[in-house]
Amino acid sequence: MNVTVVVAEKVLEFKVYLATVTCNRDFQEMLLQAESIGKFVEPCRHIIIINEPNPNIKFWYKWLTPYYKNHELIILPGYEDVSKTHKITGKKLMGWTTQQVQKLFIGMKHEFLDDYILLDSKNFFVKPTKLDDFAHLIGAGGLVEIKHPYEETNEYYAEMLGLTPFEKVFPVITPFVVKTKYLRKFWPNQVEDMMVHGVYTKGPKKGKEILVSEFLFYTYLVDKEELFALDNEYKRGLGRTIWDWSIDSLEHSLYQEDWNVYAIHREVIKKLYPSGFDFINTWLAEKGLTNKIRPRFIPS
Amino acid sequence: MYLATVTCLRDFDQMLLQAESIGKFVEPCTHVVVINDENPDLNFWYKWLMPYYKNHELLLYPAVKVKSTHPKTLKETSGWNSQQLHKFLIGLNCYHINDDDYLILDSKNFFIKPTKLSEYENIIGSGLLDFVNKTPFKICNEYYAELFNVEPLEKILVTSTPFVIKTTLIRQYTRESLEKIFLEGENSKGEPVHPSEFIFYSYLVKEYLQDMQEIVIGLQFYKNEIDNLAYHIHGLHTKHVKICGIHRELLHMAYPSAIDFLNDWLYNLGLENKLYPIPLNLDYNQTK
Repeated sequence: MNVTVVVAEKVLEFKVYLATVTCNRDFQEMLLQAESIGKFVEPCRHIIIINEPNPNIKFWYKWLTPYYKNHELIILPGYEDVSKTHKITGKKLMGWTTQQVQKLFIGMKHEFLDDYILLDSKNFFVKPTKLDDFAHLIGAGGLVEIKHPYEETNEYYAEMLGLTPFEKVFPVITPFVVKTKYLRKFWPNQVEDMMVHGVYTKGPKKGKEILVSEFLFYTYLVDKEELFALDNEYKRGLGRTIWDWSIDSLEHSLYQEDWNVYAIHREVIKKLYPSGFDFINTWLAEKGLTNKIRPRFIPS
Repeated sequence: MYLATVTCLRDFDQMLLQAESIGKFVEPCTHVVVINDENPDLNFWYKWLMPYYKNHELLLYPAVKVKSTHPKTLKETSGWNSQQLHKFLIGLNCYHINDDDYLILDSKNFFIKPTKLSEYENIIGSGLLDFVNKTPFKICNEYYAELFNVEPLEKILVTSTPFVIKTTLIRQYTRESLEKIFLEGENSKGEPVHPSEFIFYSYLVKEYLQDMQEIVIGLQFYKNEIDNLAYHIHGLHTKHVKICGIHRELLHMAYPSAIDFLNDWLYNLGLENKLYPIPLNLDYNQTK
């Protein structure tokens, strides 16, 4: 009788992995994301960074592990060397800023050099997905024109990297594919210094902390040739975010469009009526997902 | 008598359960809900709570502005301290204009049996007493003794909800004096004191505590009761207790099976809202 021996380590030799930077506030969304990965995504590694002071990692493992029967789950506290305060103004950095740094540090802090797909806590999969489908892409798969209020941030990042400001950059949309070879041109502290610790040099905000955007910054790290080989006009991201302006066309967004990954924006969660929750939760149940979206209000 | 809860966005899920339980089990009454967040969106709260108040009057208020920092230490006023103050500001007519006494609920409280509020009319505070030296409130107790210029109490009202407040006792104070007591508390050595609204109230009723008939009006499940949930739930149904409370720490520690167990119990009571696992240190101001 012939027996085929499969070495476990080989099975777990992933090429592209998933990564999410989250926080306690988004725990509920992460349950849905974890369930959707377990149900729809081919076996892969998923790194989750809990961007909180002293996070209870055991709590997170307790609730997420049951969904990772065929996937490798790595839950880590935030990387400690991410600054707590702005180096010029001395002001405390908000979670909103530090989580952006954490997202890029993932690609620089581990021995594995694989590329990764960044998810937001609110992302979840709704159909069978191979990560290879995303692996050839960079960022969100296209570029968009720089938008207000990121004009000065764009100029600042260009200056930091000795380049002419770009007119088109990666949009702030997840999933977002990060090629580690671009990140690894620098040390993590260099990336943070360039991305976070700038101030406005003119106008009414002069001297105040510059608005940070990790995806905009990442645009400047990507090789120019490869960047402009991307379709110049951004047509479609890798996932569909339901924004509050499409709250009245849920049926079309959920049933008529064809996406692997969805996200319900918190503004929708805030504004939706009970019937809207029922509608979305019925759709999730039809997809075989048991976790639900629940009403909550996150201050803007 | 009416019901009153001081809550915040963090406790929104628990408030849905509380609202549902009031709608299902409590005789028609008024429920004053104070949202102790900065610039709360009352429309959001009304949208989700209102459906449960078909036979009750729901009055939602944003918390009135109180001192944002301690004048000496310059430390930011915590939500923990300010919510204690708001529980008494309700009695001062800062919210609902009413002379009735009120039953203070915590966000985690919910009703489990048909209840008439008249049952609580003669209850003093939480209805139970405890020796101060068995509690972590020694410094706080001494501070209030100094404030009232009396000997420190040996026995205080148990610091838990539900808790009955006699409005006339609160009306002896002005809003300013209560703010000073709860937000600027310091003992004779100038040391800041963490307030306790229920120990303060114990001093207001101290002459009644000596002969008080103790009665259990609410049961709380703390984290150390996690391994005996079935026993405690059985206890709830054999006693005359009608109000329950499940601590956040218990929900944090509970395994999925324990959460399922509690939710099965709620379902059997006829309550559709559920309890959920919760991370501690939830920060709703960590804006994205």
